[in-house]
Amino acid sequence: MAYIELSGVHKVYRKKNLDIPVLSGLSITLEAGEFVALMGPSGSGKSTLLNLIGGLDTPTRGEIRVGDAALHTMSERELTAWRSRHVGFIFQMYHLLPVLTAAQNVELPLMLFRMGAKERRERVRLALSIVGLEDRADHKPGQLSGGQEQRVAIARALVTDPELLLADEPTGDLDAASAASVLQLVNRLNDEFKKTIIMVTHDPKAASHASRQLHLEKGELFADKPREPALVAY
Amino acid sequence: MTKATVLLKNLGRNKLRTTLTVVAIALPMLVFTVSRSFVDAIDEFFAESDRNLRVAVHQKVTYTAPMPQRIKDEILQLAPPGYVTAICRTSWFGGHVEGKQATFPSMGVDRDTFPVVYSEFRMSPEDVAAFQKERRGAVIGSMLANQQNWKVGDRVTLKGQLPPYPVIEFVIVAIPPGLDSPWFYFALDYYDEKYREATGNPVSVNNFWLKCASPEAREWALAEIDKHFANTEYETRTEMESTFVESFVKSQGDWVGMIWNIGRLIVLVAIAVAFNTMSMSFRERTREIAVLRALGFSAGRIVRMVLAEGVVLGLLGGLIAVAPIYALTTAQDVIVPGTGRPIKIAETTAAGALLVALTCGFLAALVPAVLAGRLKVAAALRKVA
Repeated sequence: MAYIELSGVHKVYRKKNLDIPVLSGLSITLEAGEFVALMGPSGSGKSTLLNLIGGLDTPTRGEIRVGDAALHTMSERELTAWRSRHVGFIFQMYHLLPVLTAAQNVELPLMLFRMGAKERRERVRLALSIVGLEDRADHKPGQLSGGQEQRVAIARALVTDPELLLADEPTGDLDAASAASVLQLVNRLNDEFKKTIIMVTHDPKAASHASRQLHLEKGELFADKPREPALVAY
Repeated sequence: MTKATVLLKNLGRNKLRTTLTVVAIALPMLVFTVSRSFVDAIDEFFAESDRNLRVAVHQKVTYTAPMPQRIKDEILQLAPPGYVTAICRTSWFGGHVEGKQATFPSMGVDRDTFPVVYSEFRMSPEDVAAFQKERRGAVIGSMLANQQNWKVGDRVTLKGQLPPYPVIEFVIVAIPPGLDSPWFYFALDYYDEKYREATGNPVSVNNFWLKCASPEAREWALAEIDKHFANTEYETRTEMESTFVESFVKSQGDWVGMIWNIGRLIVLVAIAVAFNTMSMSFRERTREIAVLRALGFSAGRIVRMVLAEGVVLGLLGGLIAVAPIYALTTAQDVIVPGTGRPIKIAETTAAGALLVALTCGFLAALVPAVLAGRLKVAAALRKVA
């Protein structure tokens, strides 16, 4: 059974009385545990699609189902609650709170759950150990490298143990070595922890880590193909 | 990590701005606290004055205009028998210790009637006898005694505030328990003698204080004395002590009203400054708020978070405004001009200042909080991506 199902999804932004269509009747099905790369030129609708699947935005028309949730029918309040339990976000610019330590940043999503301090600490420790940054728990973002910051952001996305991880250009701001390290980690989360992962990327090398590549162009699905192992370069 | 940790971390991210915002809230709260306490002290003073049967007679034009001493006899002849218990003449001296800047209220009074007219000072028979006996005698308030480190028996020399600026030596004969103000009273006849030596003329009187025997007698005085002196060289105004003191205080400048008005304005300025700060802080953190919303923080939670920051800033401002002035006025007496009463910060005033400060912080954070709650997450992330 499909884990993510989009059916006839349209998204139109309205700007100064002008309708700007971004997605035009998109229909996609993803299985649980897939690692999908979303590719396409700028303005093709990749990030918009990611936001819709993550419940950050709602479609103008069409249906989106993720697991048991029919996102297109849910209110903003319901979407917010759903996101906190089922989705982890990884952003290109990490978006860590600069005033908090790595551990505190990772702990942030747990503030939304009824949980004892001991369990929280254990979850944070585990998430940081998965990304290999247990020893940087007390460092603030300004004291970490870009790659380390992104790994902290991944730990923050992981800490609530969501089924779905959504990554928007997670290596876009990293050097090659850091990008490779992050992609290996993402691969591990997919292989070892069975997370369903959707990653937006412009980079074919990064996309080659995914088991499936979806190419968008002008808001429509242009190509849907499996991984090409030969392209894996990192 | 608790919500308080996040709140404090956010407040601490720009310490200078946070400090300035707190100060911007604290200053008007300080004005509020002080002005409210001034008004309390004056109200208390008036209320106390209302309790007694004392009325003041002075020139119609102003209470500072000179009047001849004989007016006292005319009033006594005019009054029905038993209506006026005593009349005490007062003549402003306003002196200060030579070589020192600080002045304090001082005046010449009738030695024989002063203890009767000002019975609330509770002069003992020994004090009264000493004042009657010693023509250079002075009766002073305990506050003045403490300020100047004076005691009974001390000789002090004061220089007058008005021409011919006589320099006169006094002997402190009493510090009565009911006189806790910084006033300095001395014998009018002694002042008159020194004045005559310097000018050849008798010293003039500013006010005649009548101690009435009953409320009826007081009403008579208020109604009849001015009629009697109407169309004479010295037209009078007879008024309750409370009215007199109010005029006196206002003659020092309507600083109470002024302080209130300035206080109101500054509170508005504080809200505007705090609002600007909170708005700047919100704008700078739009990305972070969008990320928190993406992580699953509800709009309500974000609104509460921003409001809490405003309230904490307000609370800090309130505490900084109230605590030092409370400590200061508790540790030493700060006198309200014209009343001789020290400012006391009432608990209700302190609580009121804190409440106003909290409200300032809350109101300043309200719009940024609502904007933060309404933030469109996807749009906000797009803008900053």
